[in-house]
Amino acid sequence: MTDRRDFLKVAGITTAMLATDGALREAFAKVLRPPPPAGPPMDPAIRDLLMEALNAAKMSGAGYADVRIGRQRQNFVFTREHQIQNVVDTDTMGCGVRALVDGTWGFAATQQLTKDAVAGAAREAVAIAKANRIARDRPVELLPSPSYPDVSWQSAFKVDPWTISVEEKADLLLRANAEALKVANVKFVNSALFLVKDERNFANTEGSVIAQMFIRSFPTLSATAVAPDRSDFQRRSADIAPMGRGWEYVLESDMVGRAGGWAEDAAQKLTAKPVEVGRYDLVLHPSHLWLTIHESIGHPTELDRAMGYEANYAGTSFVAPPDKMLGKLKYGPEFMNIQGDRSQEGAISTIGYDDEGVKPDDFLIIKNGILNDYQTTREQAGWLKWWYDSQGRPTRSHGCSYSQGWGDVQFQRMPNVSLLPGADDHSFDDLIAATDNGIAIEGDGSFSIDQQRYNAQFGGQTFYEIKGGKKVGMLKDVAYQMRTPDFWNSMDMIGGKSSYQMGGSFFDGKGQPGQSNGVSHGAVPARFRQINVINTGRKA
Amino acid sequence: MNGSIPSREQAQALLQRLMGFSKAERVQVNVNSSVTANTRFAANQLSTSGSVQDTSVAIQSWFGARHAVTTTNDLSDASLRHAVESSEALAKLAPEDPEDMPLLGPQTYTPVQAFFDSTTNLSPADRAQAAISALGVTRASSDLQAAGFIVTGGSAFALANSAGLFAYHRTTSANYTLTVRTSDGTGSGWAGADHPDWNQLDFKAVSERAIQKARASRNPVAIEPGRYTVILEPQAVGDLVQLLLFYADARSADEGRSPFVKESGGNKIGEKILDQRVSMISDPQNPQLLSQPFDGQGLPLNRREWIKDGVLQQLSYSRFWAKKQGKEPTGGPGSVIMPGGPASLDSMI
Repeated sequence: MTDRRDFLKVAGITTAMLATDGALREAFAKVLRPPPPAGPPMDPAIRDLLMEALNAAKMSGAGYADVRIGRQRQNFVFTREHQIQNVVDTDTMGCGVRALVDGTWGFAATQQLTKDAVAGAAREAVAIAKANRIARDRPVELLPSPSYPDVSWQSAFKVDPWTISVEEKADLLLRANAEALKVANVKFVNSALFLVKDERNFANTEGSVIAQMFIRSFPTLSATAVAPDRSDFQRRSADIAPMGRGWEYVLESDMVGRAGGWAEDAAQKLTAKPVEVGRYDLVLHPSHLWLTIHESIGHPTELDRAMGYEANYAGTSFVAPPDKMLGKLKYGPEFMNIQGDRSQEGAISTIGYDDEGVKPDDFLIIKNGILNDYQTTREQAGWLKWWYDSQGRPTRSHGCSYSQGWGDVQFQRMPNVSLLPGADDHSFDDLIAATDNGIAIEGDGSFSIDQQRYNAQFGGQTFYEIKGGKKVGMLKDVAYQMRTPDFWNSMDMIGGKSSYQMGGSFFDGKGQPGQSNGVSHGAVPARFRQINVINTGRKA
Repeated sequence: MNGSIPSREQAQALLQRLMGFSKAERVQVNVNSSVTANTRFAANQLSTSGSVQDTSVAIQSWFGARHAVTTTNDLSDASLRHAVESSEALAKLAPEDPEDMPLLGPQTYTPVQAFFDSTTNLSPADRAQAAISALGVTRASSDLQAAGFIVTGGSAFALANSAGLFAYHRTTSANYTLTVRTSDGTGSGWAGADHPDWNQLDFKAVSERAIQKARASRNPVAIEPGRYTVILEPQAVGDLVQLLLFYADARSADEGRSPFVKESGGNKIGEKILDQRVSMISDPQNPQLLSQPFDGQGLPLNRREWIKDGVLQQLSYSRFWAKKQGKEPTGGPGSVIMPGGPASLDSMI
């Protein structure tokens, strides 16, 4: 782990130099470019603290314990129109210890990174676990997992955003805003950069010692057009996915070049034709479909939800109980395959090892249209042993344990969940060309879904009427209603490999206390037949 | 827990130490300190339980109208000094903010007593026992599954700046939510309780309410789409009130992009927007709210009527927008109460 003071020194010098000298920028970019594929080894001082905490947990009676010492830095730049609203840099470090005693969990976390403090947190975690014994019903059982002594991993970024000056970041956003504001009736534009650098160091009583580092980048922009008579306002948000990549991704997103187009969409929505309610064939772009996948496939196939562990907060699942669903539920057509993984390069949930030391694997949640698996952790995968045995597959965690930071206990979070490409290499335009009477939707919008993920309604960013295989004009106030299995079973055409692209969420909430997770969803465009469309602008 | 939450004097000393490192033209600093503990249960058994202690500081530095914020939770002198220097370096690089406002000077706040030893003195065993108040009933029944969350904590927030402002508030919190479902999967009931004082939480009453709702909602029948008279319980109304006041920003309305836009220009302050029986009031002193008596910039928050007898009285004005529009800055609504009328839930049904 970088020493915080050293880091600040380096960053301070770097940003000052970068702001004044372009040649130096190149030199620093080369020096700071990470050596792929493994990350830097663990700092010996951090390792000592991890061992101190593990030892204290064992001495206090833990049957199993893991310790995480993490540091998370965030850099946010917010702008509106021609001005900077705020520049925020946050930096937090601390230690979280999880202990399993006689089948009951305890967790304690402290910001103080001293041997006494981390050992104290370990003892407190054990004491909490013991105190909870009186309320235990069934003991928690952890599946065995291989140990990984002294490994490291780093995400696939080329340019560390912390080597870029705030001046350059702000300049990029303000230039994009200026392009958007050139469009008639576009009165407001907000843009922001969300950048995260996360170092996590892990050790458990089974011998794993793991150092990891990842970077996440999320550029955002939204343009708002206001009707001259103030009778309407319309917003268009940028189609830029958050990614587990660095500054190079922010530049590739080409905010300046694309801002005018998004703004024109917002302005055009003011005069677009309100949709007529009815049933339409929908052609959904990956920039839209990722959210529908996230909400109607990602969440209901979290095993903790299906087993009632999120009943008091995030919700339950219609994909339950597992013994009535696995191998039986026809989620969609035979060409529908949904993969869970934490391995796609640049995806946000991609990681070398999860937060309980498991190396994640790729797995098919839906295989040939049929429910095939759930997202799992070491505590949960054993609940499905009967299924894995029947399939001749090993009973193992898929590596979906995640904590948002050192101060939060790890639990099951979503891996990247993606709709795999079809055999034929159809494009979005091919799907439109094959559609006689429909609506094409791009970009994610507001949505609503019930707690079982069964009934839902999704909007979007832009909507186009399709007639005779052609886009014939823009629509507004479009939202479609769905019942999850009916909707996915109505899918009759999907795009191929070259149309596959990522979307994702930077702030996906779950758990009590609430935790935020980042997750990507790869998708191809897809067509859905005869879906009920409502008009969200109707006032009576 | 008490020992980890800084007192007024400790918070002031920390912020003074922090400002002592500043070389900026203006500086504003805050400290946010908390100790929280929780117990979670689901599927009729305990799932996770833990405690977290953290204290972080934020430094905002200004050079002219350029400013930036840095936060850190490493409270050593060396780290604090570097965090201050970092915020100054970022501020110098940041473009000028045309909406920048001068710092607020010293303010007068009405203190709110929201810190209860009954909450800070809890042990993990106390929370486990509270969980058993629901788990005992649902485990003994043949048809119920409980999932719940108990979270308690203490926290302090203090703010100081180079114009002489100092504000401090500490609070405790105790929150219990419970979802009981019937084993056949058709019935579900939610209930909750929340107060800074642990002793004000009635765990048995929450359990009874969630269980009653779960059993009463079994085997629901579908109804046809259409227009119906709907009666919402207070919690459901509260969720809508929150949403309504989330959009109470005057600037968005004045700019034409909010539910409170007046088509002829400006906003709907003074207009009747709801039934005349509806009023919404924020008041940090209210014994049911006991919220922080100042906002994040140190602006005092006192009793304020947002909606009175259905008429929109006020929208939220930031200091910048208030100055531009010739109004008084208000701060946000914060915690809000919607007072009830004489009808009981049963009589409404």
